[in-house]
Amino acid sequence: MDAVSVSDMECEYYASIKKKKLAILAIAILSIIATVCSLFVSQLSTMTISDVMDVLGYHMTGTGDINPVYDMVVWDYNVPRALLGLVVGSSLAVGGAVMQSILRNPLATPYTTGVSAGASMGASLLIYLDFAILWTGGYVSSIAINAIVFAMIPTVAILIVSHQKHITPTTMILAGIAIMYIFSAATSLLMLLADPENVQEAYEWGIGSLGRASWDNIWFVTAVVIPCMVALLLFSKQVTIMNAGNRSAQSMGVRVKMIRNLSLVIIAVMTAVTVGITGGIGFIGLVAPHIARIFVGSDQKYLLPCSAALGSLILIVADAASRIIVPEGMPVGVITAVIGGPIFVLLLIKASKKVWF
Amino acid sequence: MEGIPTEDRVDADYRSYLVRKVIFIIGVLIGCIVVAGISLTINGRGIEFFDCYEYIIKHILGYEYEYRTEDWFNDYVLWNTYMPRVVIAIVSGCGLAICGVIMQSVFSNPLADPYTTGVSDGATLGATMAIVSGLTFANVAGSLGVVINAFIGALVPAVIIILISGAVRLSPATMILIGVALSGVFSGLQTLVMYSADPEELTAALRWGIGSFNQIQWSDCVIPALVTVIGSVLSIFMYRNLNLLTLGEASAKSLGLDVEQFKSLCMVLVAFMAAAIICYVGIIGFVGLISPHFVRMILGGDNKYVIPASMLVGSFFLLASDLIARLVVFPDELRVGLIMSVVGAPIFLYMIVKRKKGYGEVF
Repeated sequence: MDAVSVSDMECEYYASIKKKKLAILAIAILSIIATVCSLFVSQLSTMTISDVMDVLGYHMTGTGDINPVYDMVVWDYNVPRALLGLVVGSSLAVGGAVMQSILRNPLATPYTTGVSAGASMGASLLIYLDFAILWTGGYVSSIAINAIVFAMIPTVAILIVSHQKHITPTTMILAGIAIMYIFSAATSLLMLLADPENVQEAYEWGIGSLGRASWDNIWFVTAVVIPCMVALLLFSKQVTIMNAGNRSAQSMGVRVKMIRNLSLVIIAVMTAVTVGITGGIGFIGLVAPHIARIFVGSDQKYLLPCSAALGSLILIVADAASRIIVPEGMPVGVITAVIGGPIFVLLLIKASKKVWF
Repeated sequence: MEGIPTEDRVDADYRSYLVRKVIFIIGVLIGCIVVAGISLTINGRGIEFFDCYEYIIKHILGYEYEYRTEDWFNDYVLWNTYMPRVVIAIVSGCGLAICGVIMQSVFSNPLADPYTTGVSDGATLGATMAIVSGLTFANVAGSLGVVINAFIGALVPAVIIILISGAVRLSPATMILIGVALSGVFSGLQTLVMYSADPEELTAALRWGIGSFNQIQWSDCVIPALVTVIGSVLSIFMYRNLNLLTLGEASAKSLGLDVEQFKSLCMVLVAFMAAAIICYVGIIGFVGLISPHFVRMILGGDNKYVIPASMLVGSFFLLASDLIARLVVFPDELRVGLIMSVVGAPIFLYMIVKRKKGYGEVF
């Protein structure tokens, strides 16, 4: 091999890295644009674009004259909602991307393994029955603790199930879905025991919605999710090596068990904190990483940021779409289910063409 | 002679096997009657356990009471308020259990039932569209139109699964995952339709999300009962063909069964039964899944016995969970679909994780 071709390869390599970085940057910019655009979506037909700009300008600069109703709609409702969409979308997507690599299962996400449903149940224990495992003083953080504890149950169950020999990736996900059924039935039971009139709310909670976003809870969620995502990003090198197989990874000095368990715990914490506010939103964690893989491949170093950007983009667009289709507001989980379900089926068919499991 | 079965011993074995089946079926039947009786005693009028039977039997025999006496009121309340509930529980338990038996045989998949394959959610979407927008695919007025719409909706996921499994070799687990995804899509679409509708219609549509027997009247029982009776008679006559299918498609074909035609017939029957029941009571999951398994565990896999026994077991499960639902929160009853999920989902999980052989070999 002569020097020229080496430098050619280097050139190609750097070009591909550059392309990946550009893709991530482009998606991130798109997602920010979508976030800003989503601020303008509202039920109020009298509110114009310039009204929204006025409100935003007022809060940025502290000067100006604004309508208090518009202020409430935009600043107290739409802005936290958009921020929550950013945070939740990226955390779901990152959780899905890491889980898929760690469990070596293209269908694994916090939702399909039952982690979200477990967290929902923990959260609803406090919301509907006033049962707190540990009362911290703050409502949002107490909900989060409940959710985290209950999210650990499916996480441990999936770890145990994944160690059994005869469990194929599909069976694992089916087990996860059964766990999800158990927890969501238990959650609905809790809610209806607390108040039989809660059917509507139980339904929305099961589907997942961004409607509960407010300035009170957004800070807490962000403060937990961002460190979690950074931690997962720090593991990205090891997780990428683990793609080559656990034994090879071990021989290359990766502490496979520790990385796997720790990552799953971090994902559970991250999911639990967001689910405590949104309920279980499905399919983002599945769809975003798979689309991201098309752009940047499966190197975690690029996959995670790209998935994060894509996840928040999809969630925010879906949320805006749900508000445009049904002005009274519809849980965003409906849209993600309708779009995500067929993609899930396609992935399944693709997987079963390759191997018959 | 030891170790070599003589004709007598084979006969004796077979007879004891038959006796076991008959005893099991009679036992479940008695269980159904007892649970139905207990359920009737929660009647708000203080009518005792045995008196309930008396009133019901007398009513069936055409016994008349003097107008507005204590007996007349008791009879009126039991027969018109509480009896439809018992009947619909029996009917939907029967119907859904048959759906489960048929689907499990047709797909050679122990995890198949109308709920796990998305057929239930397809039916609800069809029915919701009929009710919410007044739009029916079939132009028949009244509740029959809703049922026909639900039937068309129920066929969609069934056809999709059959098409996919014809194109790709699907493992049982993959097939159920596809079913779960489809049911997610359909319930998403259903919610979409609901939310676009008026709030008043929304409550009507919401009723289906979690099945319930609350506020069932005699008029609601007619269509489900009719369809279930037709379905059970047909399926009891089809047991030989269903047994052939469990041998595998190739063997069934070589034994003279027109597999494709029979499968389509089965799916149409399942879709129709599921649709007729779901239109009136909503989605009740896992009955169709666990009743046949419960029966197979005890009686073995011969569909001649599995079908009637599953019908009874399905009725028993629904009667019992309806009873639980009413006992827990009275008078605001919980929903029977929820109780069924709480009981059924862990069994579903157990079946997925604990299997020893491949899925197809369970029968």
